[in-house]
Amino acid sequence: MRSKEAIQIVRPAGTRYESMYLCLAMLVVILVSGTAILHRTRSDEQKVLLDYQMSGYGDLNSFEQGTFNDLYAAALEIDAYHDENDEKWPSIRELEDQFIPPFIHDQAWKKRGKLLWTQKVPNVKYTHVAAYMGKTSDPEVSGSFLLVMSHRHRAEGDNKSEAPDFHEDQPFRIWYYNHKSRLYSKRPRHPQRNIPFPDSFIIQNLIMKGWKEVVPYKGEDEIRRLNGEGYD
Amino acid sequence: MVKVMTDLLTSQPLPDSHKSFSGPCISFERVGLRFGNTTILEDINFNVENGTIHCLIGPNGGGKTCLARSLLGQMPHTGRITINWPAGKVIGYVPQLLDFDHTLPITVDDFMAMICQDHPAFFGLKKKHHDAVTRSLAAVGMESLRKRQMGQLSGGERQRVLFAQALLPSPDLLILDEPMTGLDEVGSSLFEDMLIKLKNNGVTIFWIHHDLKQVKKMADFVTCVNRKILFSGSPADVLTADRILNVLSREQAFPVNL
Repeated sequence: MRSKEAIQIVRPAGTRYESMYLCLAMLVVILVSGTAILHRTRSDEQKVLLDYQMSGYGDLNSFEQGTFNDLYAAALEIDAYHDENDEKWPSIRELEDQFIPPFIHDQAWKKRGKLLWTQKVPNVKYTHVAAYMGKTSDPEVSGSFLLVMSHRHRAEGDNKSEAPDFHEDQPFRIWYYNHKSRLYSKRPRHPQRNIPFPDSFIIQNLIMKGWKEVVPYKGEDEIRRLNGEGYD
Repeated sequence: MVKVMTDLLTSQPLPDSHKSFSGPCISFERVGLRFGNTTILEDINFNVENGTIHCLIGPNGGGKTCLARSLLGQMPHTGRITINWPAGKVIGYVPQLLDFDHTLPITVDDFMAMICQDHPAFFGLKKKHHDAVTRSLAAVGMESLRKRQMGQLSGGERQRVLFAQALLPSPDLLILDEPMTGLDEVGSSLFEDMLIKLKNNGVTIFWIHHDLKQVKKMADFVTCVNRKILFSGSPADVLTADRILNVLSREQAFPVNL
């Protein structure tokens, strides 16, 4: 039997098949990655300003923006300090000594309305809450700021009463009070020229007292601002 | 895998009935080859009968090597090359020369191991291939030099090693690209003997060669190629003085050893 007999046509060497296979492979890669991207993409959560919130970019003047940015950075420092020092909060004096703006009295501090900082650690039991208030000396230049630090200790169960209101997912919130009342014209309450340090730092209380939370909008929002599209 | 080499080179020729089943016949139909604007080959039509020695002659740069490599499927040729295999499909190929770094620390055995086994040659030649390698090296008279480094071999010795590798596994079609270059008289006659033995065992031999005297003596068929086919047929018919003169007068570079 000549079953083994075979006629072979010698195929010319060339890049035709390689090119075809390469194109196919590319197509497969594009399709697979395209499908994966389509399936996995989630639209970025749009940050919506709530009624009691304001934008760190749009609603503050340039001096206040400076203070806000410094305070935001300082809040991270304070949080780290708290972690490293047996859950103690740094005093205003300590912050000044460490040259941490906006607490330090430098030239920028003078230009930005000479905010006078005081600290309150509301309840000794709840060492994870601390508030730093910077009261303005010149309401024409800047409003007042309030930094509320809160540390997550939920697992320890020592924050059941008021903690959940401001804990949630943030280690700190920054609040702002405008003495010129520009932002509060709709509200019946008259702004006070001389505001006291709030007693309670739960969100509702601060809102009632006329404070607004400053939300650090960034990136995309800034582009929108530069394009003159404004904020919602 | 290596088909263990039968005693191709030492055994008696197979009976005629079996012989016709061994080597393939090859047909070239309108084969052409172009590199850019340069035509290397055009309209090549001829057949290689099975179990014969078919010599390819022609001037340098005439496209002989390109034709052999087209047959190996290594060239983007046009037209049709058909190989009709009656039995096995093993091709042995002896290239014109082996281009390698002479300082490469590789022995003859390592080189043979690279040819016949899948696993890396630096692990050594596998035992099961040892006998076959020994036989093929013995067939070309290189057995005593098997531990020698490839770079230390003379041109003729390297040529013998190249021939030995073409015998592993035992080929059905042997393509030789001027294997005699650099061979001395002893080597040359050794090659002749081997080729005759292989042919007697039914192997088809496609042989590019310059030595017209040897072609006339050994070949069953001869084809002269210089871009096109100049002539093709049995040496006695086509290798006439007239024809060779004709080729010479047209192609200055045609070496004649008649």
